[in-house]
Amino acid sequence: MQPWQRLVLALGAVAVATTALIGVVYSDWLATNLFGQESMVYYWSPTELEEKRAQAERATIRLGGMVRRGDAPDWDQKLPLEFYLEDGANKILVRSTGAPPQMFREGIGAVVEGRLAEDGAFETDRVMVKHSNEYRVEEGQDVMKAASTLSN
Amino acid sequence: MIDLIPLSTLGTTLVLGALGMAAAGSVLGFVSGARSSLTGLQWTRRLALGFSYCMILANVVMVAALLSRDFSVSYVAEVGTWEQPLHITIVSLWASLSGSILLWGGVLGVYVVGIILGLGDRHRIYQPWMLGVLLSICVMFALLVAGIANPFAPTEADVLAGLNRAFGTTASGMPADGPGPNPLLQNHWLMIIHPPTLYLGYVGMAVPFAMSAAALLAGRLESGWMAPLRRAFLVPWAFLTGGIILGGWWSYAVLGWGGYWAWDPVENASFLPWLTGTAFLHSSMLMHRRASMKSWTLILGMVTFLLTLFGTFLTRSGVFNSVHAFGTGAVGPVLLSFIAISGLFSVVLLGLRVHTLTEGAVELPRSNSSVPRADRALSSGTRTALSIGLWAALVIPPAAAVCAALWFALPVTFNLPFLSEPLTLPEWAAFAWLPLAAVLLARRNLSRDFMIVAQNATFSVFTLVVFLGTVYPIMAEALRDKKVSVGEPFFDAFGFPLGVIIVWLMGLGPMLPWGQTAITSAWKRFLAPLSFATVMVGVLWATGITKVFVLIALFVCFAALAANLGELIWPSAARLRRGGGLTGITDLLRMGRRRWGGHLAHYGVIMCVIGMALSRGYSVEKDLMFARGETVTFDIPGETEAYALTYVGGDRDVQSHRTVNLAQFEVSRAGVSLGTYSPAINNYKMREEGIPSPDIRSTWSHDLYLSLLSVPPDGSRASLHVKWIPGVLWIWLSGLLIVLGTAISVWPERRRQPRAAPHAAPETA
Repeated sequence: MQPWQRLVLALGAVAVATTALIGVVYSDWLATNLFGQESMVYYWSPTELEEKRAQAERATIRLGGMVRRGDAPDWDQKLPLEFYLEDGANKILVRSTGAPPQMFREGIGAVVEGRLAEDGAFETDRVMVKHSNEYRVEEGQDVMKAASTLSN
Repeated sequence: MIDLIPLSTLGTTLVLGALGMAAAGSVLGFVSGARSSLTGLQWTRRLALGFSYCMILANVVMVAALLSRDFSVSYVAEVGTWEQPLHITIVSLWASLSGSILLWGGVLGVYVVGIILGLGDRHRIYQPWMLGVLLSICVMFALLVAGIANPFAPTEADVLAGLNRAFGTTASGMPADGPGPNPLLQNHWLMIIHPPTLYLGYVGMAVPFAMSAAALLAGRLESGWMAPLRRAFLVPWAFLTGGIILGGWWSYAVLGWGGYWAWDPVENASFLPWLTGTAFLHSSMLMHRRASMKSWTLILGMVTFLLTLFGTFLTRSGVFNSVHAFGTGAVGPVLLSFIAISGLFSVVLLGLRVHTLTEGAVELPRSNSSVPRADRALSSGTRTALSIGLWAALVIPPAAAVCAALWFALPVTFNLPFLSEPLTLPEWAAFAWLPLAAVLLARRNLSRDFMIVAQNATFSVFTLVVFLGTVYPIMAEALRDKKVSVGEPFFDAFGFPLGVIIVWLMGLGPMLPWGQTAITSAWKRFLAPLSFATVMVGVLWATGITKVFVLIALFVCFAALAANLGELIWPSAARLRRGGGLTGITDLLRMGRRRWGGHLAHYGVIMCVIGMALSRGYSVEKDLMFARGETVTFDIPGETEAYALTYVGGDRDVQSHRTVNLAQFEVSRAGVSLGTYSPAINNYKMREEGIPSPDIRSTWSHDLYLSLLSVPPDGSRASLHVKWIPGVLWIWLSGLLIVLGTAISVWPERRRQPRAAPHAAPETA
């Protein structure tokens, strides 16, 4: 093989690999089957979750919204914790086996990771609150933005 | 003195000087490589040293600026403050983006000095090419430091005005104080050593990249160049390994979730070059010994550097929002174009020049006629039966790992219809031909050489899997504006079987000789480790460790441990039996450093995998809420006695740079007090959210991990994340062992007279 033929071969291989990668991204079927429902984490707002309830089964979801107090008087002092996350249009009941962080209170933006339970509530073991700082973990930033505009 | 020349000007001058010398040196390096000019080489070396000294001095100037709180330097205005201890002020050098890139340049300078001093006057054919490539990389980083991420730029007027407003003004018109560095940096001593260790690992990969490119440019690769290449690779590889493990430890000790590895994109970014780098270290042995796999080894070496650039990009560009991201900026696109340029350079270079390396491969005698002497007494039928039996035994543990992953993990990871429920018997049968094919295919390849090839294949697959899972979310967001992330189940489903195969090969490799193995002697070699592992796993099973994943992982670990120890002791023991007295033992002590180093690294990996298997398999965690004085029990399944935790009360300690909110818990077990734990939440100024400071007590068998989630100012209540984690201490210790092993094998050996032929030196796989 001539050197230039090798070069074409090498560049061709890189091109094929890149195309394949982009193909995986564009093909939903391939992506869900490669990474699987339960190992994909989606970032949704309460409204999106209401709209996609059927799709949400089995999937791991990060739900972001603003905290509204739960129905029980000691909603923030007993595990499992029960509170609502809302984005203005919709609110979702969240049940958490994880204790919330220090800043957790009504009216703060929060993100929870978990999945939908049989009874329609959202079950999680992890509650993260929104914090305004340069070095924040900005997971679900977009939904958080929506939540913070709401609270202003 | 300092007042005469502003530090900002001094620093910028040094950085520009470094840039100029790197640019001139890289051009001169290529020219003197093409012309084989010795004078050119000498001047290239001088320019390279000039670059290094400028870059290192620039780092010193920045530290001086940080120490003198010279807020006219933009970086100091970003991270400086008076209210912190001395060591935090110094490490603020890597507290933010532009400072860490300056440090990057300084580390590159240290490596350039190191390689120039290390090579000295030897390898004159390769050196100019190597320096040309290396200095081109230096140009890229110097451009970044001098341009868009210049930490020495004078502080902008509105930033100064803002600081003056917030902190007050001194007589000289400068702000009285500054915002201070990222609290995460200040919170734990591990943050002082984890980032520079990882930088040393990442940046150092530029040297073997340049050396590989030099071999391609010079059109030759002799064993004289392979030895320094391997050594130049081992140094950053050891730092990379140490950096990854320190990062896991930091995450464990600071972030409060009680884990050390989450398949976070930035963790993956450091793991990817480690995978290709480890593959390189092993294939380079084959290259050295057989002069085969030259081009593959060079590709691995070059890919490793590209992956470190990719890791830098992921960490520093802000495409991922993680604890590592320093926010977005123009640095991302520039780094991306560096990756593109380096990648294109590598591909073109390989495409044009790789054929120049193909000579000199030593072919092994492989024909059927050359049956090893030990096997000639056997009939061919017996030989075939013995070898199929052997391979069947060898394929069982990895096959079990794959099956376990298929059975438990894949139905979760994949939603393929036929995998969504456990496979039926006929479906299993449909898969059964695969191990059989593996047995037949590999029957004639029972050698250390083959195990290294198999190791390389496994590491490559692992790299591909991790790369795909890491890149998918970025691509999905960039191309389709879809926000997803690929979670742990995907990585675990692949990582478990691949990890088991890797440890298994690590056991088989050292047991087999180079070239070809007689079936009968192979049986003898494997019997002891396999029996040892079986007995050990039986014992553990009896003590209550019954999870299939954990047992498979422990089985291969024990087999690999026994196999490696056997390889160490076997020859000496044989000599002792033959009446050679204790010469075998003295030989063992005097054997090559590389061999000792390889062994230690292997034991480290085994220790690490044992720790991971136990901690992943048997951790117990729970969130608990307390009122003051309340006692809550924490059960460990499989252990008879539960822990009892009593919340005694909260406390508050106001320090210069932070407020420590701690809660005290008295912990006891079976009526025996285990002391008072004081987990805390540290609140730093300039940051609303507190940083947890868990209280962790380690023992050889398990850790008890108490992380405070919240405590109100009056201390009336507290909520706590409690975790019981077995075996986790072994993971941190394993890092020490691996780094020690690498250090031993890198340490220069006294030159022997006459020098032994490189092909004869014994090594481990």
